[in-house]
Parts: sequence; C-alpha cells; structure tokens
Amino acid sequence: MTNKADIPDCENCKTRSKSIFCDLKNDELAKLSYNKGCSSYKKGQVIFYEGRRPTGLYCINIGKVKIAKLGEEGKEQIVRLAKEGDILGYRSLISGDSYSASAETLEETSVCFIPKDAIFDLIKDSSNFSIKFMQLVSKDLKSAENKVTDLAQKHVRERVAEALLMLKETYGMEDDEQTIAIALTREVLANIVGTATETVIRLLSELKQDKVIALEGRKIKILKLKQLIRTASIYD
Amino acid sequence: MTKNNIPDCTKCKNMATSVFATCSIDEKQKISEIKNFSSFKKGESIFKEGEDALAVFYLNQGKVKTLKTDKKGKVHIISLAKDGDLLGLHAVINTSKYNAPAVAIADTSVCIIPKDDFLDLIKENQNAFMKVMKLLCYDVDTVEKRVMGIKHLTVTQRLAEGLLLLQQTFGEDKENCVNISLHDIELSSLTSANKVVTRNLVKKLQDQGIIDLKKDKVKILNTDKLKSILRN
Repeated sequence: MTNKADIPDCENCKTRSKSIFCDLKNDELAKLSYNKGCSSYKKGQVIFYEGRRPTGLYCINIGKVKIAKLGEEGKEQIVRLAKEGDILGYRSLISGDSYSASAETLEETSVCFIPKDAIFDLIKDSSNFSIKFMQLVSKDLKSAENKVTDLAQKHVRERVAEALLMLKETYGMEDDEQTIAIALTREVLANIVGTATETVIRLLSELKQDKVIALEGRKIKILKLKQLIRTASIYD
Repeated sequence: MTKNNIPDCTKCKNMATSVFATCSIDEKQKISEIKNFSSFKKGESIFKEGEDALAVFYLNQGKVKTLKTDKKGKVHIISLAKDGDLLGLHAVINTSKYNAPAVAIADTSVCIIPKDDFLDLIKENQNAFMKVMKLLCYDVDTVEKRVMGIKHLTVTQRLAEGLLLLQQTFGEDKENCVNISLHDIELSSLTSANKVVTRNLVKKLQDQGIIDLKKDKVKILNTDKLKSILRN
C-alpha cells in the first residue's frame, strides 16, 4: 500500500532547480503545490503499470525508480533509471497513449503526482514551461539516437562498464567517494545491460580481479575510475 | 538540389495529418510566404550531421532516412520519414546542430521553414505546440524501441521488426512488395548487425516462406509469422 505523505511544498523543493519546473514563477509554483498529491512507496512497489493510461505526471521527490518493460518469458528490460527531481510518464501523458513501461521503486521513495489538467494548464499559461518541457523531450530524442550507434558497437564488457558509470552519474557516490550510491541485484544490472545474469556476474568479477572495482555484497566500489571509463569506451 | 515552384500550404494534401493541421488559413498563408522549397534526388543529403540547425524540413513528397555512423564505420538507420513528416525538429528546438543526417531514398521535395518562424508559430499556436510535442514523444518512443531492440532482441527479431517498420512506413506497391528498394535501405543498417549475418537471416526467412525477394524489393508473405517472430 502507498501512504499519503505530507505534501511537500514545490517552492522549497531542493531538486526544483534541476527539474522542468525551475523557471516557474512563485504563484505558479504555489498553484502546483495546491493541485498535486504526494505518495510514499516502499522498496519494490509499482508507481504505474505498463499498459495503463496516464492521468497525470509523476515527479520524484525523494528516492530511486526503475522504468522497465516486460520482455519475452517475463524477462525485465530496464529502459532507464530515475532519480530525485526527474519526471516520469510524461511522454504517454502528452501522446495520450498508455504507458509503454512500468515504474517501480528501487528503495523507499516519495513521489509527487500532478494531475493532467494542471500540467496542460501550465503548458497553456507559461511559455517558459512549455519550451522547457519541449526541450526535455528533444534532448531525450537526441540521447536515444546516440544510444543506437553507441550500443551497437559495444561488447557486453564495455556495456557493463558503461552501466556502472551511468549508475554513478545518476545516483552519485556515498560519503567515501568510491561506493556507488545505489545497491542493485545482479539480475537488475543484467536487465539494464541487456544480457544474462551469469554474464554480468562473470564480467564484474573480471573487473574486480583487475582491481578496477571492488564488490561488497550488492554495493559496488569504483577503485580506478579512469580505467573503468577506458573499458566502457574502447571505440570512443 | 534544385528550386521549384513553391507549393501552397493551404492546398497541401498531407495537411490534415501534419503538425500544421490546426493552423488558421492566415497562418498557413504566412508559412507559404516565408518557406523555401527544394527538390533532392535519390541519394542526396538534405542536411548533414553537425550542421547548425537553421530550419525544419517538411517532407512534401518522397522518402527519407536519417542515419548515424558508428566509430567502426557501420551505418545505422535511426528513422524513416514519409510524406507529411517533419525532419530536424529536435535540433531546432534545442538550438543545436543536426544530430542524425537525413538522406533522400527516393526523389524527394521538402518545404524548408526557417527556425525562428517555426518557433514563433508553435509559441503562438497552442494546438501546433501540442502537435509538435506529440510528434517528438512519438519519435523518442520509436528510437527508444530501436535501442531496446539492440539491447534485448536477437538479430532475427530485429530483422522482423525492421521489415515490419518498412512495410508500415512505406506501404506496398502493386505487386505487394514493400515499396522501397533494398539498395536504398541496407537491411543490416536496420538490424545493426553484420551484413553477412543479416543476409543469411533474410535467406532463412525466405526459405521458410515468410518473405520473398523480388529483384531489389522484399515481399512480406506472412505478416503474422513475422510478428510472432518478433514476440518470441
């Protein structure tokens, strides 16, 4: 079950400067705070399901979320990972299609929900917001285009290294500045890379043997960042 | 590239499905006045990767592929465009450079709408703005599907997906062949796999009676079978 949390105030949101709401005026933010809801989820709960129709936009207040499709034989295909300040489900909201993937929490997470009408009002009333929104979608398109060539030329070993770098970029490091600030099962890692779990296990232990990374249960430490970058981008 | 008589936007046959569908007659006339019009022969580039994005290109008539070349020199098709589609959109919106070059794969004519005029139009016309947003979202979904395909599908599945995409985009000719020459669309650039591997898989699908090759064209004999390959 999800719990209704205290609704955080958009004006004081610490991730606002990095979100698409960064350019909103104070009265627009106050209206947004008034219109939205906020729910808390435990680890492993689903925020929305693939195939359902969107009724609004989700914005992560605190926590980590994976966006994934169900592939053949129930195998999970992770599309992307999201962090605080990221918005979820916006493409389906705009296109009016059902969600093409599900969103599931990776740890305790609180998510604000902004109803469809409130978003469309903002698009109508704030040209700053609508342009910002449009630029976000455009950037997604460019990065998806680049991924096509990037992926096709890479071997699994490079893609595993790349996935670790992506995790570091998205979630940052813990206080020791070595440990990636997210703990994922090997299976989830495999679903990010798009390979078998055994392959990920083998390649991680190879990287460990080369002293590029260290493994402590599900936590991964990056010992030699430069070498990991090199491993990820042999052809770059 | 040659200049022709500029077609009238108010009479455009693809208007109903384009992002300009909800524009007023005045707005359409204004676009007609400011736009440019060019024809490209098969194989010519409409824009190149890394060029500053100064305009969006409305595909008046023809067929276009956008592609990217990886560091090993292999070409990957990113998207396919047909009559009424808009090219160069995201580069214009982000005031950046064109990311994936567009090449004509049939004789093609495009209307060229300057960046500032286009941005003004979508700023002023809410409906046009939403249409452009929808189009962008659709484009992201299509390309992301390609990405997920490379990560999670087998080459055979990607081939099936590529063939279905060609059929869906370009339709079929009188002989029920997919209406595009395989000289212009190298199938391996849709599967992102090795040419020989792709050719062998095409042969396999042909042997199974799912597709047939006629000269430079492909005929899909069993669409359902192709779809079930994609699902399995």
